[in-house]
Amino acid sequence: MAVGLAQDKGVSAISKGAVALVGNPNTGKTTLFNALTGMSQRVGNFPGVTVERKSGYMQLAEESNTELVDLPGAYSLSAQSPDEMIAVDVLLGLLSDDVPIQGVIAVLDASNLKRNMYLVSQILELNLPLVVALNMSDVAQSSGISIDASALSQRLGVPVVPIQANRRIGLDGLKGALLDVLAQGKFEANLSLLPEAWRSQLRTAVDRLTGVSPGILIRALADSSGILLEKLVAHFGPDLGTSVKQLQADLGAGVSVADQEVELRYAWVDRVLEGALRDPEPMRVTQSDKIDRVVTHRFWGTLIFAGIMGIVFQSIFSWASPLMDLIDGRFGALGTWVATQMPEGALQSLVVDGIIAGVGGVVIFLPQICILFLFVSILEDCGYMARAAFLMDRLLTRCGLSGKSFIPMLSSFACAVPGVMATRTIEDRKDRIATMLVAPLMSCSARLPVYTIFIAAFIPDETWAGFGLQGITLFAMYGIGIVIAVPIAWIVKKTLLKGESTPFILELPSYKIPDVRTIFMRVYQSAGHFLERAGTLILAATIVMWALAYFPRPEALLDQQEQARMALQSQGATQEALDVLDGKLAGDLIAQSYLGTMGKAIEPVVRPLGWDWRIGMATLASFPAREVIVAVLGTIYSLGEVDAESASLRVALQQAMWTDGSRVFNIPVALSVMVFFALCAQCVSTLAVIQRETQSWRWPIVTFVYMTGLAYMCSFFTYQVGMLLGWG
Amino acid sequence: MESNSKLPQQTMPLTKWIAGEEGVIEAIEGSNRLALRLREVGAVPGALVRILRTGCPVIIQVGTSRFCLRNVDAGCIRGRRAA
Ligand SMILES: Nc1nc2c(ncn2[C@@H]2O[C@H](COP(=O)(O)OP(=O)(O)OP(=O)(O)O)[C@@H](O)[C@H]2O)c(=O)[nH]1
Ligand SMILES: [Mg+2]
Repeated sequence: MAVGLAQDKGVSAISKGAVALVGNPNTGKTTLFNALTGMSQRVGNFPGVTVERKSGYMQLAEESNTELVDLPGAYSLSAQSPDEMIAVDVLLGLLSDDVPIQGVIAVLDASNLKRNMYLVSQILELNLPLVVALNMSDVAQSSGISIDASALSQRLGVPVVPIQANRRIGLDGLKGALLDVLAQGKFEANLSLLPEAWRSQLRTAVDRLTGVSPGILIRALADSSGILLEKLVAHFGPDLGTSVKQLQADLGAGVSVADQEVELRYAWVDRVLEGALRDPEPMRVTQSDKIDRVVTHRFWGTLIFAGIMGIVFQSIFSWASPLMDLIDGRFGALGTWVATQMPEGALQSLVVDGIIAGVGGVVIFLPQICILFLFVSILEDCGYMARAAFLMDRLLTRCGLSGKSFIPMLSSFACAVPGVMATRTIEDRKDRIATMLVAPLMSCSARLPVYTIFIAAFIPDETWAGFGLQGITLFAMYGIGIVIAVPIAWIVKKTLLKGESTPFILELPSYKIPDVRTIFMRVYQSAGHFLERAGTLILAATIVMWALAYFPRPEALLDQQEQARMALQSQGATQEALDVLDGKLAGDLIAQSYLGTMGKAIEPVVRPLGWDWRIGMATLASFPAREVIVAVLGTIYSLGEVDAESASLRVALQQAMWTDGSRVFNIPVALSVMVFFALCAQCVSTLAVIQRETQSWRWPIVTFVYMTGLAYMCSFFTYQVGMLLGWG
Repeated sequence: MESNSKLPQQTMPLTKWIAGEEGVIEAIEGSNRLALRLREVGAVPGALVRILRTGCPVIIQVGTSRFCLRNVDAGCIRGRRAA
């Protein structure tokens, strides 16, 4: 529809369709997309970074913007996983509400040309104008590979442009070539690799159908699963189905396109590359191979993996602390200042206790978030992710999954939402759902503030064998999720998603020096996302919770206080005595607030976990988003305090007391809260994305129930054992 | 002929190879999805292959790309080792 509209208005400068970036995984499609559109989509050195269709605009010629579509990588148009299927759907025009594709840029890894040409041979059979971009020309060159682009271009009948997307080299040439092929418009499918008999049969069939390219018929013929054929028939009409049946019969018994396709294509690739590709030493031992001798070693590799994780968590703790204290101090001072500038009352309380002590309490964790994403992006861009998946395959095989599941799980350390989306790279549906169910157990960045505040307040700052105890505790919290995920996946694969262990194949890309811009953008975007959440979702939740904790302020209580105060003053009591009285009032007010009343009602449920009603209510409020607990505790303790100025939440937690005067928090309570947050499904976005990806309510409900039940049980266990061990 | 002293160069599944050995693929057995994918990424007869790590999963180099896959699946690739 949108297209028609644009034409009606005579905006012919905007071309009629989009240009798609297609290629094998990890060839630099998104890097090129970012370079051409000026956007900053996620890039990383492992296959399967992009799992959805993304679009942007590039300027091809003056006053003409063309839509560019970035797609997930695909090894072949015979898709095996949901992410590859997206690329195929877009390319074959199967998404009805989609802008039609008017041209294709095939992004090839020049250092891996032969394998990449397989997909090109398939794209050539579609009637789409095509430009071949030979990316990673720097890598090819340094490996001594030389490619004769003009010879290749001549044999393929399409422009071939060497580029280096990460340095934006060759982009003008690419755009020029693209403009040329788009201007030529109609593109004749290249069927030269097929046997003559097939070709004529296909041509006749295509002539009978409308809007179908020979490539589409070939895809239908090669589709052994029947899924694609079904989609094609639904889109192009039943005539296509009959044609395919007819062709299958005509092409002769015993000859199936699916069986012969690969060999035919590689024979063609060999012919096309003959003399155009010179690779003097294809089997040489590369630098990456040497690194892999250590990194993928069963023993050393595992040790390195544990070491990397240990260092990450240690650094998050030790590097961020000074920065955090600095921000914390600023917020404290800000609260005090605002309190002196505003008249006392509900509004002042909202700003000081609700927004500054609450949301501000979350914002101080920005340094941790940045450090976490710094590490995540370095790991993603250096090529380590695929190695980690390799190492974890053995463990995951035991619970019926595969190393493929590990990449979504690792991504979930940043955030479970992209983690769940990353399961699109998993071919098997059951494995995919099982992975989605355990991915939210990985400690995401939203848990970091929760862990940090409790660790900083209650875990002694001691060193064990060179590692800080606080860092070790943080490491342990991340560990719990991983350790629990294994039996959960095992149980799920034995019961709800019964199935065989499925095959596993994963490409190991060569190592690269991480790209500074990529890392910077990832950290910057994550920091922005964190602040945005703090300013929206968390702010809203905090305001609601503040109101519940502030009102109704019973008149009787306030009057009583006023009388007691006057009595004390007339007796000439000290300021100290007055402060004690104020403190008591603040405590009474919050205890009698709506929040306090609700809290008292739920206290019996959380009491076995060692929690008081404040923690109980703050946890309950955190079900939409985990960071809310920090904000709500900040608000509750700030309201319950004598002065409007808020000391840091850490100190407030350390000093919090039960009515009998004993401390609320000790190590077992702190651990019990952390364990609860490590395991509980407190994230609406994650549940929503599981619903969207599985197209069923069943799986988000299963996730929510099992995680929350597990969290309660483990938290109970932690508290009780901690108390028995005398850590209280 | 030198190679008389050595074992005859017969076709063997990759699982029987030792780490670091290279050779030429002769056949891919099986017609499941994984076998298809292996062929699509270049594990076709005549392609060069090398074992980079044995055990399970294995790491193999096919052409210029490296993949890890399970031992059983690697077993469906048969090849002739270079002398
Ligand atoms: N040396 C070199 N590296 C490049 C070049 N282009 C991209 N890269 C790097 O290659 C890696 C993969 O890039 P991406 O753009 O994420 O690849 P992709 O094709 O979108 O990958 P998927 O989305 O997983 O299919 C990143 O680490 C890039 O920085 C290039 O021309 N030369
Ligand atoms: Mg990408």
